[in-house]
Amino acid sequence: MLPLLLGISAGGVFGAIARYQLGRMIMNRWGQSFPLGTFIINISGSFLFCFLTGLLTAGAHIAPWLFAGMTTGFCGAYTTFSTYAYETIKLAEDGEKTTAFVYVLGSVLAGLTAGWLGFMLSVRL
Amino acid sequence: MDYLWIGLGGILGALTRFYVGQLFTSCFGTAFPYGTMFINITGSMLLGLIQVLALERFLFSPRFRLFSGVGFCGAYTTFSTFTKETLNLLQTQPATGLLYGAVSVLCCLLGSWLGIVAGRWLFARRSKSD
Repeated sequence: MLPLLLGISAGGVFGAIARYQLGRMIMNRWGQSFPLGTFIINISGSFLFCFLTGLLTAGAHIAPWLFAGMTTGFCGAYTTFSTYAYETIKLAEDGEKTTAFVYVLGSVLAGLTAGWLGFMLSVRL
Repeated sequence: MDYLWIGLGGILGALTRFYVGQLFTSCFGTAFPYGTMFINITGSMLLGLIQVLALERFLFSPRFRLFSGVGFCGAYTTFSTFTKETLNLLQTQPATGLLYGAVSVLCCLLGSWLGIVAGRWLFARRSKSD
């Protein structure tokens, strides 16, 4: 159990910091009217999570602590649902109802597509 | 220094998610991802509350917001697990998958809104100069 918890903790640190840093970089450059940072983070994280679980499905041998660290730890902490929900509510509050709708639905659809692609890629490797 | 607070919140958030997930799995099994749904809804409520208290009521320092909001709530809630679970359900029970996706998104939006409204209602407005 301890190796698992350590793996998840290490992944959690890197995931949360990567989200903060990448989110800021993207928002400074392109994020004027659309929460592109969280969008890209959630889509790329979904791709990676499904890619990793696909590897396991395909029969790859990954140590449990390493797998939990990369999926539950890193991907779980890198992606976020709370910021996604908060940003959507703020957009709606600011009167940007269309953007809020595009963001909320676009994130789910793009996330599912990216996840499916990640899974397919790893199974075929 | 920002990284330290975000990292600490990230560890706590990821570990809490792991334990809450395990608790839900042991109680309700793995047929439906109740755990992730509970985690995402409660985390969305909490973040809404934290953002209002920090950014509109100035009750929290920027450092505490990085720890609790960006670090903890961000890492506690998860989009990648939600995506994987939805894909799994869509493949085996499409209706349940659709239900899981829709209910998760709608309840998290409602939760975030409730957190924001609760924060504004519970704490009277203060001016920044207080």
